[in-house]
Amino acid sequence: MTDRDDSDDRLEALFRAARTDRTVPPGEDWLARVTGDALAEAAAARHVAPWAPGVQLRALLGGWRGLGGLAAAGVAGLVIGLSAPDVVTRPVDGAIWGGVIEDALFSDDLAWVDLVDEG
Amino acid sequence: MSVNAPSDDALLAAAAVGEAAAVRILAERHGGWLIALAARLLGGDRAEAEDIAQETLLRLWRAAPGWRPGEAQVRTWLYRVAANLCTDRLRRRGRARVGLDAVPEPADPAPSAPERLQAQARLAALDAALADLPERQRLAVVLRHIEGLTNPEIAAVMDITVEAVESLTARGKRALSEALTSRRGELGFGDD
Repeated sequence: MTDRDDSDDRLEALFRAARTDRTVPPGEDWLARVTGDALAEAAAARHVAPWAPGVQLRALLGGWRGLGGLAAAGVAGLVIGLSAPDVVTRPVDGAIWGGVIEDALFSDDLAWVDLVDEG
Repeated sequence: MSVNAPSDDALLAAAAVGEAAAVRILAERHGGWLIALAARLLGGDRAEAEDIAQETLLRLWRAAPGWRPGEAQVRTWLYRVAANLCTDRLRRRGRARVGLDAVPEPADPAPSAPERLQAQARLAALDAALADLPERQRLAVVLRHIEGLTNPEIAAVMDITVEAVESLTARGKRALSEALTSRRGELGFGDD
């Protein structure tokens, strides 16, 4: 048997002894402390507010102040959305079909273009 | 654990809602090996090891309400937390080393119990040699050769690859052999 084999055997014997040594049961005092910890944690968890979607959403959006801002922005968006057709499309309609562009193209203000073409 | 014994996951779910009997079973099931592991990693201080084991289980109780059964092994999770707590504790105290020179020579064996005394001396020498190993080598060797974890389990606990585990345990064992060879006579291994 080589020195390396001997050394491995000695080490394995020590590991075996350590494995046997490790099974020391905990004492009653320690078990009582640990049990007390667990029951205190369980009691504390019960006192935390249970899952409530409204509460969770409010917290996520920054509390009441955040929710107020969000509501105001929503109302403003709604107002803009409802009034947008009157404000935006009517001038465009008038510009294209009401003669504004046509008038501009054929007005006397552009007569100089014809003069340039004629040389 | 017998076949009919409740699983860790089931006990943890019961512990989360404050069932004392479930807590007690979990504490008895895992307390002994947690204390022994911490004592071995911390250099043999039983009181400090009990603190670490208590803190480890406290973190388990806190994790219990959100625990997802089957997602992680309670035992592996405990190994990881305990190892990290021991590492933190050692770093905080500047790793008070228990070198081989600090281990007392084996006492003259009393005629009534020579084997017991020799076994104690051997274990003290092993603990001292382990304490002299680099942190990660020590943890890998303890988990592999004393706790009996597989290399993939150790890799999960230490968050490293299986190859890294193999390398750490091999180097650790080599260092332990060299450290203990010089004392083989007094530890009762003779000149074999």
